Amino acid sequence: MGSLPFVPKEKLPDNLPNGETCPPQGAEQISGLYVRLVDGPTASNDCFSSFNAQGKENKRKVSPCTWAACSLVVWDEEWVDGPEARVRDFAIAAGVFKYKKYGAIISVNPHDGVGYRGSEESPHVSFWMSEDFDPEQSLVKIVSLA
Amino acid sequence: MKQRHRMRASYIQTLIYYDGPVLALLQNRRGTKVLAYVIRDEIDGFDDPYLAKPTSDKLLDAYLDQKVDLSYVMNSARGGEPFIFDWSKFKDEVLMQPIETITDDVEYLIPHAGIFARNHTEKIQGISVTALISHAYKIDGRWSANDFSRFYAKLADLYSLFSFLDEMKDRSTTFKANLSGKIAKYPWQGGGSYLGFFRDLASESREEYPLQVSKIKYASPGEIEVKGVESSLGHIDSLVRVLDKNKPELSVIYKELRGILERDGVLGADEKDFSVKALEYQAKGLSDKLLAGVGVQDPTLISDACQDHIVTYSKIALAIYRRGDEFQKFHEEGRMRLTS
Repeated sequence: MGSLPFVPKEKLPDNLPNGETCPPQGAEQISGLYVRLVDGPTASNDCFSSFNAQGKENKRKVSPCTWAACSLVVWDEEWVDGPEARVRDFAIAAGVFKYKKYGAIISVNPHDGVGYRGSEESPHVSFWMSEDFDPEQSLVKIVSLA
Repeated sequence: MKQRHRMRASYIQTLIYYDGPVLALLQNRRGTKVLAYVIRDEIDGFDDPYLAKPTSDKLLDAYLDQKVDLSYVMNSARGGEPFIFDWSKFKDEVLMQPIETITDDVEYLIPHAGIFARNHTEKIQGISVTALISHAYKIDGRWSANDFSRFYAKLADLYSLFSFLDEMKDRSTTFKANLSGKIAKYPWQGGGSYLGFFRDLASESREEYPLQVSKIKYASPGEIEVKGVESSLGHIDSLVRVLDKNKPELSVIYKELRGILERDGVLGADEKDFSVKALEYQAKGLSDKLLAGVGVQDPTLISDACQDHIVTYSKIALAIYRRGDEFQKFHEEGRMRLTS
């Protein structure tokens, strides 16, 4: 993890099994442009809430730590067909493209939170926000992915 | 088309995650890998539906190597037709139903073309899990080839019986009617019916409750190790312990029940009913006791399947007891020890 202090926006689970930590080992403070898939051309802070923050029951064998994260997609300018195409490709794989045809791009700085990528190749990032992070304030633009 | 059975699978890992598992790797009890993809559309009766496709290791490798996409795997004939399950009902395992029991239109549930493993959000762990456990019986003394054969035959019969009854507990009436059919097709006059009946149970439950001998170490002492489903193997261990304790009492019930059948002239005959109601009542009570005594938790599953033919029900109860008795005898003789 980076050197800046991280105070999470929501209480993260502790006492995880097998010595797991939250955020997990390998998570780090991230920066750059990231996308949240949304269903229309507007986005509010609620769109970025974790399921844990929304009070949704975790019945899906998801680690409590991941349940307290927000799923984001890397805005990859270097992707061969352009960053929108990369996000669209992932949205199709995630089975949500039918409903979420827009991407809310936010600008993230190291003090805004901690991210974890489970795989180098995938653009998905689990993101735990810092206490002071305001997604709406960090919104760069909303793009159509269709 | 042959009606497909339901299938149980356990969770290995998530492969694609976005606000929850999108694609997950599961494994059925025979070790076949299953890819489960989220269904975002509403399906009646399902809170959190997933389409599940059993696949071969070769095809899974091709998918992981990005040589084929996910829709190719899902459409492939290898591994058979897909299943559907409700993730909200996932415990250690989940019960998957053949997709055709829910819809004939599978096409619209198949994931979009062009989904490759590059979008996997989690690395493949290479973990192999299975719901089957290894279960050892310590053996001692002298064992002939015939002893091994008898030991396995009794174990396999009891295993099939407990597996089938376990399966029946949450099954539909069609499955229960299936047991009635198996019972009704035999005359129950001699050994052939009993052998055939247990063979039928084994064939019905083999897919979900496989039993394999994984090791025989013949020495004095040695070991027989089998692989199977824990619950069914556990029932058999309990049965041995129950008989260790209650055999004298159960043996009296067995003899009394057999005597009733013999005296009424139905033991070796194909009659399904007693000549008088009083005998039927008495035999039913003894059969219930005998089955409960050997660990059949719900004897009504069997009596219902006998369609109120108490002679048949009594004969099956005797047959089950005999198998338990013969298996436990190895333990009583000191030639087999339980390890759990």
